[in-house]
Amino acid sequence: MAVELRGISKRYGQVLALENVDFTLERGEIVGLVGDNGAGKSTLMKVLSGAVRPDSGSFAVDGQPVNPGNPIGAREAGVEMLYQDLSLVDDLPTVMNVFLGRELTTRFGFLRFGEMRRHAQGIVDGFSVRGFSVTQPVGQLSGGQRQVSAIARSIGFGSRYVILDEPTSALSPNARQEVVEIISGLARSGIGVVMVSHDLATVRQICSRVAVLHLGRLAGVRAMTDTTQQELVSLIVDGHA
Amino acid sequence: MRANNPPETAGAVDTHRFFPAWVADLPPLLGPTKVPLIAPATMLVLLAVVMAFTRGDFFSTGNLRAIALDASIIMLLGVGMTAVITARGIDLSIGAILILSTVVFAAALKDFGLPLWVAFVLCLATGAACGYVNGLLVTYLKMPDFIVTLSTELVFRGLALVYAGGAVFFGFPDFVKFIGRGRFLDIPMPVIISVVVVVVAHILFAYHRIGIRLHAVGGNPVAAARQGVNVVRYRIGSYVIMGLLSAVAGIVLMARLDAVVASGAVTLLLNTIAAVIVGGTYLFGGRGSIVGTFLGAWLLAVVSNAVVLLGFEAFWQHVAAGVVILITIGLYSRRTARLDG
Repeated sequence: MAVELRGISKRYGQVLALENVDFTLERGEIVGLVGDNGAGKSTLMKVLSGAVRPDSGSFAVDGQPVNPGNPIGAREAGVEMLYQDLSLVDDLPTVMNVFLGRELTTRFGFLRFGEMRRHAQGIVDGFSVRGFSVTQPVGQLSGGQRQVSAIARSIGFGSRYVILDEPTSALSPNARQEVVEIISGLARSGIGVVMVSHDLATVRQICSRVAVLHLGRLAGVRAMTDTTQQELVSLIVDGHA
Repeated sequence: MRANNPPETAGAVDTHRFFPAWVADLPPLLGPTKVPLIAPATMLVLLAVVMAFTRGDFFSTGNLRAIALDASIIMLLGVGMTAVITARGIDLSIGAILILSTVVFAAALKDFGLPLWVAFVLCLATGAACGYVNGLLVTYLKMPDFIVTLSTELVFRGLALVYAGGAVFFGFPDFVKFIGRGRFLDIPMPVIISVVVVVVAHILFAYHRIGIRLHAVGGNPVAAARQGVNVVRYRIGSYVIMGLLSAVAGIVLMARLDAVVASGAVTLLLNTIAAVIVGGTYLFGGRGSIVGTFLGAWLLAVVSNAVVLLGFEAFWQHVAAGVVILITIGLYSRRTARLDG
């Protein structure tokens, strides 16, 4: 049970963004995806989420091939993307953000608000972050609670794999710790997590493996227990240990 | 962690203390976003109380009917404008759409001798088509809505003037006059029409997925698009509704006056925007309230009525309306600042 990318290459004009990259993500594990600016992290993330169609390579989820370059296909296959900006509508409550575009309605389109509220509250209450009501506008929530709202939307519809883009950037230390606990909780519940980040300390804290990209190539994949900070920095900067 | 299988009894955090549990299952009664309605509601009540003490006839049936009639056109236009502004747009061409639609109605009836129902259909279709043109220009050509609708205001009004010139269409059939001057249960028909539109719009705005998506499109169009909401369709849809309601408002106005003139309806735009903004709808999108617009339209109508009742010249209506708008927005801004933390 895994997401598998094999031999992924992608070129933008003269720039080779990804070259023959392999990547796997098992359910229940957290894999860090790190690299310098321009290393290809964003492109690989977009390939995973279906936002970008690779020039070559294959994409499979739980053994089933997924049509690459199709966000809806990736989502239906169980892969959800969580953007760095969280893509929340600040004035709407969490419950509406969670169900935006997939509202539970009567056959005439009227909201089944009670069901939506209970479902969203159930997901939110499952996180270790300080409890909050899903009827509060997300603009009034703390950084950690906003992250929970966005993650609730990602996992609320049966997703098995989540890609998190810089989930701890621009957060206070407290909110960062909340997010770390949330991500760990996701993995414990059996969801596979890709964490794209520049925050090596957090990556080392919660990831079981880390994939390092350098100038579009996979510089290495390391189990966190078998690597050091020094080795990771060398892979990021020089492309080799 | 119980991410994908939420428990049946989840949601203890926001359980109401004073109401039965099923109350928590109702969607927010006033709409999905928090709009500070307290400001226009307070101003409306204050003004009504002051007027009640100053002029004993303020609460007479006749005067309330006059106020309601005055508010009805702004309510109709305000509903459309609330949809457009909530979806992060603005429509400056509503006066011209109103006029062009009613000129089409009058021409169909008077110049071409078409049946009444055909004239109604053509009128509404003209309004919707004008809104569709606005929506297409704003979304597909990605032109600023302010510039687009300022330009189409000139185009639509110009077309009405080209056809009608300075002519006045008048003497419409009795059914048309009934729409503007008739009563049902002693309530003027324009008031009934506008209240029905307000109620239906509020239900769609607050309890239907259309309303939620409209707020999302205005609040964060990128996020809405990522969640599969067709942002372009919703934005165009808001302009089409605006155009359609401009035509409806045109029919009501024409029916009240029993006349159409291509150079009319020039002051409705600012009053409509004022009613919407006073009602708490956020000018830059994402936060809107039909109930607020209803209050805003009534507030402006009460101000105009008060000026007349107190014996001032009619020109003072503008001064009074401006002052009341400033005070209300002042209250609203303080409240919004608190809401935003």
